[in-house]
Amino acid sequence: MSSDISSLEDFMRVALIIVACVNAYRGCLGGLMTNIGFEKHLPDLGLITHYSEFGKSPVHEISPWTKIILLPVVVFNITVIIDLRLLLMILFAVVCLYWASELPIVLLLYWWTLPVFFVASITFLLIWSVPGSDLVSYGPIHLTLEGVALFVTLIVKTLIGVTYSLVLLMTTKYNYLTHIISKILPYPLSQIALLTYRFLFLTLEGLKSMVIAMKSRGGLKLSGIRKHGKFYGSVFALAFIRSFDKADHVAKAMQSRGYQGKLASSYYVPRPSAGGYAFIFVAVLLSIFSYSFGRYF
Amino acid sequence: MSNDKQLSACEFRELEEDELIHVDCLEHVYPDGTSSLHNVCFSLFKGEIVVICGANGAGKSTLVEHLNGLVKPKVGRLVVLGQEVTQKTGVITEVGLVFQDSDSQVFAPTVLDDVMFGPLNKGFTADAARLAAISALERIGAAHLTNRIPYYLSRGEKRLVAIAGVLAMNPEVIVADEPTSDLDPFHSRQIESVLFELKTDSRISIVIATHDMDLAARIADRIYVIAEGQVIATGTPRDIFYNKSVLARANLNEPTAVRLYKRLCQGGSASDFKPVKEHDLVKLLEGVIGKAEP
Repeated sequence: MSSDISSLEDFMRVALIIVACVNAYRGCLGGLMTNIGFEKHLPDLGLITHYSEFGKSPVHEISPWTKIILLPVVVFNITVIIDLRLLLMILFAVVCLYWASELPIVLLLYWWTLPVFFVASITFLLIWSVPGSDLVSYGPIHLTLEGVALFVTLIVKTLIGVTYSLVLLMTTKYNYLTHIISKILPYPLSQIALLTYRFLFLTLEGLKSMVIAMKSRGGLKLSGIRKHGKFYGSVFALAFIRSFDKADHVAKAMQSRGYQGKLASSYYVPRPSAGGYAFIFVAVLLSIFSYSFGRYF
Repeated sequence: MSNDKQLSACEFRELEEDELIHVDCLEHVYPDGTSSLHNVCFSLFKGEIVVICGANGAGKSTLVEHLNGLVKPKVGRLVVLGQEVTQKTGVITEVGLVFQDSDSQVFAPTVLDDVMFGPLNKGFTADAARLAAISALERIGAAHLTNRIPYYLSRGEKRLVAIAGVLAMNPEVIVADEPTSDLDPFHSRQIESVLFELKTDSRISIVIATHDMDLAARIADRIYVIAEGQVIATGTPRDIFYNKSVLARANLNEPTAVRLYKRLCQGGSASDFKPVKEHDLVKLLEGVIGKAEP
């Protein structure tokens, strides 16, 4: 009898945690999305372009080469480092870099929402089977301290990647990116990367206008998503098909202005300064150091 | 090498002097088997504005996309600036195409970058491309947009940038698909006057596809009426707009000036001079009022 009561208590605990998580999700994401505007959570092409083309912060002055070389360093760090304290330090450093770039911090918080939602929706299923010291358990379901740590770690890794990518995109002119990508990637891959980058914005643009259209007719409420999930799914699929159609129009417009499969680049991209090289060197050293010692934490 | 699969009802014509675009017996069939163009013949001569009129879905845009070789003719003959367009021919950049959807045409991060895109593809150096772009923007009165981000431009401004984008490539012909269809009257007039000035000042030949009959009446030297993928009539604006059966067959309205003139004629005051533009009608009315005054 007492074991029944104990398992019922465990069940209630797990149920309460799930309800708390759902409420947190509704409060954090749903509240933001319904009251402030879902479309604010999608990166704004115009704004990103505005900052990249006309920004005057010290980070804008750093050589595009330096910023691009640091990207794989960041990717290396978020791939191999598993220590949460180190990851939090890197996140802090990247957010400071974002702040130093004079980019809008409030929008960063909005733009974090969707990646966090995406990663959380996947890791939320994983955390229940991570072995470790139990916080709560009910039958085969265990919520462990390690499981919670895994959840937070993956979220922090996502935020580092998203934030640094935004810093790179919002402080580097598109033509510089075009030039560098065409230098470092072989011919078809470079063109694919560049066009994907442009068409990603077109897709976002299409998605944004569709979200606004749906909201204006009372759609996209969380209760609605539960009831009409299939319908929303088909609408978003349609957004992607439309963006594909739009991409076809863009391709035609490019061809009619002489595009023959190679984006013409005529920009001189400044090389990293001595300080830039030093910074890259230190970042690489720190990454190796963090990785080597991180394993013993 | 011309395509010899033309239908027997349509014959290839001789190329004429000063003919910049020559289309004979053009056929176009969509992948699902729907015919969008059938036996279309079309000519554009140096220094003229030709308007292709037709209702939605008549085949205007498909014809327009053929005019610089963007879509290659599978059946029929297309000669652009003396060069026969075949399946192997590239896009002819001397014919600038201004698309109906400017959002898709203007895609670079800034207006200057976008207008430079064409010249750079033509092999201009960066400085030459920049000069060509700035000059093109100045020519159409859009120099103030040079450093703007296309994303935040109005539709009218985007259309101007799209025109500048093709103008920077020094085209001999500009083909504009529905250039004023989604614009307010102010921007519509602005685009119209830009196109007209390009013809008069720069001697650029212009093709406009539209269902705006007032625009066609004001600007066209010659008109092609297209319905269900076929050219059903061609002639001067006066020939076309006073031919009720042609307009009815193409589901098109008469221009305002023609409609008003016909209403006035119902009162018994017909004149030998048939106005097509509002300006002509006003002149006619001034004459009538002048005579009636004591």
